[in-house]
Amino acid sequence: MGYITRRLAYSLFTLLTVSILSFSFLELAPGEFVDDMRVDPTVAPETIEELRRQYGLTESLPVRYFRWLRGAAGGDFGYSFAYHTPVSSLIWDRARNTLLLTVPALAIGWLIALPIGIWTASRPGGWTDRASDAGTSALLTVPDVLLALLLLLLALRTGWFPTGGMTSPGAADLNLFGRAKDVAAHAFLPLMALVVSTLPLILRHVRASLIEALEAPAIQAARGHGIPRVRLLYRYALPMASNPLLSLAGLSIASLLSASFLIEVVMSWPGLGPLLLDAIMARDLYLIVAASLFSTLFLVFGNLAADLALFAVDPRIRPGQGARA
Amino acid sequence: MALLELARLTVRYLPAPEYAQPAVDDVTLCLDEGERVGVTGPSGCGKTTLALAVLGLLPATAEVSGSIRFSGRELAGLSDADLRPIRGAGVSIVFQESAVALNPLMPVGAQIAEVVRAHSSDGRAGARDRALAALEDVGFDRDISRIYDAYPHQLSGGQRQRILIAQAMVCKPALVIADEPTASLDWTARADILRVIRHLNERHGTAFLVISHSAEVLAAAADRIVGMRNGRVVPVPAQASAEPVVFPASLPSRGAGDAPLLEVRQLTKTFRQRRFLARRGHEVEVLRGIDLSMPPGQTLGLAGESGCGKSTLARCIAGFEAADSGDVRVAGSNAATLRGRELLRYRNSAQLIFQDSAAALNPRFSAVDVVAEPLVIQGIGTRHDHRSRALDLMERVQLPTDRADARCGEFSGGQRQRLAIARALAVQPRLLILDEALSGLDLVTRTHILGLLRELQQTHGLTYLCISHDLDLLAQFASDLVVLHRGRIVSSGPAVSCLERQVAQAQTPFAPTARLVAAG
Amino acid sequence: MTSRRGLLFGTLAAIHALILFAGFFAPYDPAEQARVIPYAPPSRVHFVDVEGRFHWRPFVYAWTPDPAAYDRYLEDPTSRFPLQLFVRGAEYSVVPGIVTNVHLFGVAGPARVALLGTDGYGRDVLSRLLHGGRLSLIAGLLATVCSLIAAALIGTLAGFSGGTVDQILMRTADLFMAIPWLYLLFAVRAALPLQMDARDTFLLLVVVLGVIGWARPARLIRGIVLSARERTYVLAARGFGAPRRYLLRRHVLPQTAGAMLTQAALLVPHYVLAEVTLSFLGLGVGEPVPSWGNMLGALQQYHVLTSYWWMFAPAVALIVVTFGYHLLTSYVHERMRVVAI
Repeated sequence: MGYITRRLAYSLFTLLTVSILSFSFLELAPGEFVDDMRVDPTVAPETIEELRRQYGLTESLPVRYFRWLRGAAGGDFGYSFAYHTPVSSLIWDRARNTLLLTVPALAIGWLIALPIGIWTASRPGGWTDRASDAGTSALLTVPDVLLALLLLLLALRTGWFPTGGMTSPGAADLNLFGRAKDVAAHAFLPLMALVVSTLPLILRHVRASLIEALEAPAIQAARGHGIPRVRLLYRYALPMASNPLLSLAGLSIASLLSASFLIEVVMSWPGLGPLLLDAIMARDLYLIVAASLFSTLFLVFGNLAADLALFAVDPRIRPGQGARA
Repeated sequence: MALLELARLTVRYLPAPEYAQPAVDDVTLCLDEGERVGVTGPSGCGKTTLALAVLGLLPATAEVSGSIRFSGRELAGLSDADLRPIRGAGVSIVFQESAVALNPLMPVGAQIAEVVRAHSSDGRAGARDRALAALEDVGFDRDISRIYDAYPHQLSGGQRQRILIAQAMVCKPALVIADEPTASLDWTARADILRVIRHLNERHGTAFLVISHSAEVLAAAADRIVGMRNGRVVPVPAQASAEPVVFPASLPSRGAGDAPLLEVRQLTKTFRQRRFLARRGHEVEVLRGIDLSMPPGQTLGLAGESGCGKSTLARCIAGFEAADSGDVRVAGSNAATLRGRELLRYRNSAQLIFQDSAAALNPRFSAVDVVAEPLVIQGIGTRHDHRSRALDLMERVQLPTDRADARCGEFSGGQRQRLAIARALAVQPRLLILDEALSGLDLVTRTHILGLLRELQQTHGLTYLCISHDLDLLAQFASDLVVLHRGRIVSSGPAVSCLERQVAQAQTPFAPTARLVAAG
Repeated sequence: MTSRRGLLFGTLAAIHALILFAGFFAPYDPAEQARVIPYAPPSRVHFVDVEGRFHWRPFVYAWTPDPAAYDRYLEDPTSRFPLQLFVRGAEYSVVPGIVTNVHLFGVAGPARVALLGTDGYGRDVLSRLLHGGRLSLIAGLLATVCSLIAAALIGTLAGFSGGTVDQILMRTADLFMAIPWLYLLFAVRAALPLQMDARDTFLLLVVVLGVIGWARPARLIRGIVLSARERTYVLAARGFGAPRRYLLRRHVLPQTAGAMLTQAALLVPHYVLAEVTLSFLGLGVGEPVPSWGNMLGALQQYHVLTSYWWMFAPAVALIVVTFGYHLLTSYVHERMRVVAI
């Protein structure tokens, strides 16, 4: 129990820190969103001051932060100056769209990487191993930007996939199934880009963790006792590799989020990525903080899930199960 | 027909340069049913490689030639699939290092059952029963089902070692190869393991091939001992066959009238363990009320099991740690009151030689660098002086100076220990504290180093505090003995009588070779 | 092995030389526009002219717009423009302070030899590629140095001090590692003014990049320092009275050398990519200064993406550089393993 509560506390701590950091960073930034208006001679200084007061910009940083924190606890993330609507109305949809992309990408990536990783680890040096190694090396040198652009090019040239956005015009008229198909068609390319982007690293790590597990003395000892190979692999090596693999799963979420940011922007998928980018361009304080926080939330959740899984799998983490006899 | 016949067995690791020696070189060995044979030799002599070769567990880079016959069947060159039925059922191995030889994620009982199911068609229940029986066989008598469900990290070293033996025995193989079964175990655990081996041998007629670098283990565990060196079978040195060594000089007991060099009074030390941001600490009293006294020019032995506080005491005496209360004086100077230069002088006079020579010397340093380091740090003499003094010291510890610039990572364990001694001598100490300094060495090397130490004692008038868990060693080396148990002194006095008392109390099953040093 | 090593180092050296001496290898100034030939395909270098005659010296024909098709070009066969070596062209500075105008190759005007075509303003892509590479690569290298210095300082401090200092520093590092690097990058970038002059942008870019990547190397170095500090030989040296400076210099820091090298080889391509990403999205170096990022940014327009394949050149260059550094990383890894054994 202590382990879980500690992990939870740490996650909360991370979230708070990120929010504080985002707030403070933006405080450091010269300029506010009202700067454009200052230059405009037709806007009176009083109006500007009124606006600033309205948006709470006249108050000090700690006050602004606590106000925001209180609101955030209740689901209100402040107001977007650029879009003139509460941040929460913008965020939830975008967050959902990003999840729609990243969660399947994570699942697919691991579903592909695990079997290949296990196979190549059990036959190191074989031709599948060498092919996979060459493949991952090649893919790792390709930047995500290029990947996204190439897929976009493919879509434009062949017309097989829609480009940009999440839905086609007129999609609202379709029934549920039709709409789902429409979204899937739009999501296909970004999803593929995301999977191809994160797959090589995951695959490499799976293979490395398994090989390391296979070289462990415990495996050698079991082999010495005549345990058959297949059982060694699945009942011994894989569980023993689960510790590093689960930590890796947590870390891979971070790189997944980075990749999805870029891919969403290039392929015009309406997720948190383009929102954050626009917010940065417009210096939209509350939007930036909220978007950053949401992505951190995904990250923290993912890591927590990995930690819980680890807790369930590894007896060494669980506290005193039966004292030493 | 012998149970196991090795004929001209050679193992080479490829790729190997022309001049490289094989790991196992032309070994011929025979083992009969029910026989117990020991294999001994310095580390790296090929003992473990031999064991792994029998079961075909060597890595793919190993090239095996020669013959390995088990019950008349040729094992060399068999495929993995063909060897599998034999592994664990015909011949088993008990690996070293029980901490890592068990799967940390599986209960130990299940791991024994796995071996059963790998070699028979028993179901879960049947395998469990056999595993429980195996646990009984290796000496677990209380709480067997609790042990069955325990995970490896919840058991002690001795218990884990017995689990490994249970795994090896559960399918009743004809031969069990035990690789250093008692390494890193203390007295009592070691005695248990040896008892188990004898019991299994007597009850099931299992043959044992016991690999160990420790003479006393083999004396108890084997009927016949085979020596190995550099991959070849060599005659076993005389010491290993349980004859005591008699040093020419007598070992007088505490000489009255000499002002003691080392005096320890009521030394107490407590360790506080605190986790980050934890509320309360966890206190462990490591040393309590230690009283010691040593006249110069003598050797005092300090005995005790692992965890009794010996190393902490050594560090307190050497000035590495401060005691919580009590005094330590070397040549009259009290460590606790000294600072700066004075403390440095104190530390120079009481030098500590560590157990693990590989860790005590920076492997990237050359031999000369290592020995000269104290001179460099303390700024004694010019650079030229440093080198010449270092070479001089190397000669004094009988190290070949032509290798002076080789990295010390390339030296053997015994040579590294000599380097450590040379380094200590560089600051002209009066007291040398040997903290298990001879424990990792094989018999032959140990004898040589003991000889060196003896000689240094006579030429330099050094005083030794020899800390060890090895009674045999202390009997050979120390004139007086102090026994530590859980941080307190439980026995002290002249070595021989102290030892006899110890032996009587511990009731160890093997006859110590420790007695009969010509009582001075 | 040594021949492979030679190949690796040779290729990397060649790439770096090409890029660092961009001014010499590039035929044109990167900002020089030629609006008459926007998005012209790569110049074709000929040895045989339209009449079938062979010439020793390779030459190009001038591009003229195709009257029949919208954005196509035809070669104008009227005059040949032979390639010349060591021509005098636009001025550039080899290093700050030394100015020259000698270029490796070029053609006499009004034709242009654009081996990689031209962009929307008629600027030579090859020249922009080389100059842009210089910026991206130097940014990457400088940022790596910054990060590693920060990492070495923080890691050593944490490892040596232990206790609370160590915990605080490492929790901070964990936080930095936990945040997706792109988000961190943007967060830091967002705190800085959007429009700045090129030099300030570049410097700030380097600092921003340096900030995002210090955490992992710092952790690594801290681990090495921590384990080195616990070694018995360090204890022995302390027993002889060695001050901290000595311990660091003689025993601890040499152990970090290997890790620093591998980290450097890993970080450089990562940072180059980060700069490219930032510039691609318009948050990095801006027009008219070329960088691989803003050159690729043009591909965000669909018509450029589908019709002008030579605009992908910076991506290919990026792949080559990344690949080179990956090979370097594996090489350093191998060497370190061998040394450790």
